[in-house]
Amino acid sequence: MNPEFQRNLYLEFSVARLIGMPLFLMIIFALTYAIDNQKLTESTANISIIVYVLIILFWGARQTAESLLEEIRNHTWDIQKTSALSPWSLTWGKLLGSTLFNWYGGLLCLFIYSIATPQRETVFLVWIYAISGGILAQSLGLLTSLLAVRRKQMTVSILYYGVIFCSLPFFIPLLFDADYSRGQVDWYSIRLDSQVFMAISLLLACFWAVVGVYRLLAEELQIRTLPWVWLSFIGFLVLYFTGLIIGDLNSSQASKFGIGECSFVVCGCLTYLLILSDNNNPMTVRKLWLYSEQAQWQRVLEQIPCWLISLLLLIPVSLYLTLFRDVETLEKMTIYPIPSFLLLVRDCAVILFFSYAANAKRAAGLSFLYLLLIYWILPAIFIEGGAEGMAAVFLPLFSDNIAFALIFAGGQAALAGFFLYQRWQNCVNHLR
Amino acid sequence: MLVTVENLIFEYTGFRALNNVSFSIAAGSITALVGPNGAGKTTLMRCLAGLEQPLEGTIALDGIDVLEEPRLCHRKVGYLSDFFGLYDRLTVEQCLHFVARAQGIEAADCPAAIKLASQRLQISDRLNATPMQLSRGLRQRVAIAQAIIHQPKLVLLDEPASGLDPEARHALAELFLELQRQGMTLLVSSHILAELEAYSSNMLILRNGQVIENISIAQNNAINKTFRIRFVHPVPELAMLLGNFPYLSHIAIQNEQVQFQLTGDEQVQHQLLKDLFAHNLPICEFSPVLTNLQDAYLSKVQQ
Repeated sequence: MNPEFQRNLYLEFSVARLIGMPLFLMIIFALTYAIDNQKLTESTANISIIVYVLIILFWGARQTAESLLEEIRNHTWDIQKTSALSPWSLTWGKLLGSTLFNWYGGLLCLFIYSIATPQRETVFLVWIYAISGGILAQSLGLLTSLLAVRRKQMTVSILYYGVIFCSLPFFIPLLFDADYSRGQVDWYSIRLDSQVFMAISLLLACFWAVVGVYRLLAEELQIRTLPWVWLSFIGFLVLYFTGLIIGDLNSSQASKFGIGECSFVVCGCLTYLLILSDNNNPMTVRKLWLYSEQAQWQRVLEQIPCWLISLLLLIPVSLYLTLFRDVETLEKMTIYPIPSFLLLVRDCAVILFFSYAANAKRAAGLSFLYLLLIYWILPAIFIEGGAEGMAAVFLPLFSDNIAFALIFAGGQAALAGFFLYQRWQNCVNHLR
Repeated sequence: MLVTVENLIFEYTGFRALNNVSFSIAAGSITALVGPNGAGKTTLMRCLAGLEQPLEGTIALDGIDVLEEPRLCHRKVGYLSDFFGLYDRLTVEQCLHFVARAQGIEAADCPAAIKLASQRLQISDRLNATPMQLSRGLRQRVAIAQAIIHQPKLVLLDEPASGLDPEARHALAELFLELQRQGMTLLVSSHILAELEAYSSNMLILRNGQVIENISIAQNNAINKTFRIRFVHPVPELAMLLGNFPYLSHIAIQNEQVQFQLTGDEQVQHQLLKDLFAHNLPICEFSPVLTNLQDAYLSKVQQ
C-alpha cells in the first residue's frame, strides 16, 4: 500500500468516525424522509447533494490543502522530501488519503441520492459530475497549498476561498438541476450534448489539476523537469477554447476569433495567473542569467518560470496576429497585439518590482492594487473627466491610433523594466 | 571518501550563505560541523541532503552526483533537521513503519527494520506510545530512529542535542559512536562543542559561508600539542628566548607560567626540555595541556 495513503488511513479512520458518519447522515435523511411524507424522494435527493458538496468541496478541498501545510507547520515535510516516495505516490497518497473520510461520507450521500432522485436517467451523469468535480476541487486545494508553500505561506485561508470560488461552478448543475445545461455544443464542428461535453471537460480539468499537483510535488522533491507539461497545458487550453469559440466551422456564424487570438488570450491570462501566484525570487533570475552565461541550456529550461514561458510565447503570437490576421477583426476586438504584449511586459515588470522588495509579503496585495489602479480607476477618472486622450496614456489600448498605442506601451514597458533591473541589481549585486 | 564537495555556492536573496565551499568526509568518520550562527551550517546540511539546489558546485555522495540525482541520494542519507517534527497523532511504531515504507523498505521487512532501529535507539518499550507522550530526549531518539531506519551511509544531524539534559546528551554521544561502529558516517552540527568532543573524529569549521578548517581531531592533537611550564618566579625576557625555538607557536606568558603549542613528536619535546634546562631556567613544572574541541575551534576562529 502507498505509505502516504496508509499514514492518512491511520489518521483519518477510527471506529468512532466509521460509525459517526453514517449515523450523522442517517439523522439528516430521517428528517428529509419525514418531510417527504415518509418517502425517499426529492427533498432527500436535494439535501444529499447539498451535504455532498459540503463534505467533498468545502471540507475536502480544505483537507487536501491542509494535508501539505500541516506537514510544513509540524516540520515533517523534510521526512517526506528525503524519502524514496515518488511524486506520483505522494500525489495520490495525499489527494485520496487525506480525503478518504470525506469520500466515505460523500459516497454515502451519492448512494442516497441515487435511491431518492426521481430523475433516474441522469443518475450516472450526476455521479460523473459529483466525483470529477470533487476530485477537481480537492486537487486544486492541494495545488494551491503547494503554491503557498513555494511562497513560504503557511496558511490556506485566501487560497482556500479561491478554490471554492473556482470549483463551485462545476457543482452548480448538481445543486440546482442536472438538466440545467441541456443543449448542444459545437466543438470544431463536432456536435455534442452539452452535459456530455461538460462531463468530458470536467474529467479533463481533473486530469490537468492532478498533473499540476504531480509536477509541483516533483519540484518539491528536487526532481529536475523540463517545461513540457506546461507547454502541453497551454496547447491543450488553446485547442480546447479555440474549438469552443469557433464552434461549427461550416457555419456562416463561425467566429473569426481563431487559434492565434485564442493563444494570445490563453497565454496572457496564464502569465498573469502564474506571476501572481508563483514565488518570484530575484535568485531565480540570477540562476537563469548565470546558466545562460555558462550556456547550460538544459538548466535554463529547468529553472525558467512558467509565467515567463507563457510571456515568451506571446512574442510569436503577437507578431503572427499583427502580420497575418485580418485588421478588421483585430480592430473589432479592440486590442492591438504588440501594444497588449508590451503592457503585459510592463505589468510583469511592476509585479516583479514589488516581489523583489525587502518585504515581499506585500507584493501580491500591491500588485492587485496596481492592476486595479492602472486598468480601472485611472482610465475611469480621465474618461469621466472627458480627457480620453489621457486615459489612453495609462491604457494605450483606448487609443484609436496603433502608433500612439505602441509608443506609450513600449515606453511604459521600458520604464518598468528599467526600475525592475535597478531593484534586481540591488538584490544580487553584492553577491558577485 | 564518502562525500566530496567542490566549490559549492549557495545564495539567498541578499547574501551568499555558502561561498566556494570544498571539503571531503571520509567513510566511517564522525565530523563535527561547527561555526557561529549564520555560518551556513544548516544550508550546507540541506544541500548535502539533496533538499536545496545550490547555485554552483558539485556534491558527490558515494559516487552519486547529489545535484543531478537527489532522489538517489535520499536513499543513502538520513537527515534530522534542527526543527525536526514527528507525526504526533501516530504511535511511534506507526511513525517508524511509515518512514520505513517511505524509504522503500518492503512491507514484509518493516517489522525487522523497526525492531532494529528501536533497539539501537532504546525505544523498544515506547513503540505503542505517541510522540506527544514522550519526553524531549525520547522524541529526539524517535526522530533519529526515523533517520536511520533505512540504514543510510551518511547521517546528517543538525543540532541533535539541543534541549537535551546532560544525561540524554551523554546517551546520544554513545549512540553516535555505536552508529559509527556499525559503519555509518555522521556529520553532526552543534553549538555545544564539549558534547561534540565526546564522539567526533573530525571537525569542519564554517565561518561566513566558508570552510576555514577541516581537520582530523586526533591527528591535530598528535601534531600540535599544547604545553604549560611553570617557573619558580617570573623569568625576564622569556618571550625573546622562547621565540628562538622554531617549533613553538601560540606562546602566551602570564606571570610565572607560559603556555605554548609545540609542533613535533616526543623527540622535539625532549629537545625543548634539554634546551630550556641548558639556559638554567627556574622550571618547577612542565605539563601537557589537554586541548579540547572548543580551544581548537576558538583558536581557528580567532586566527
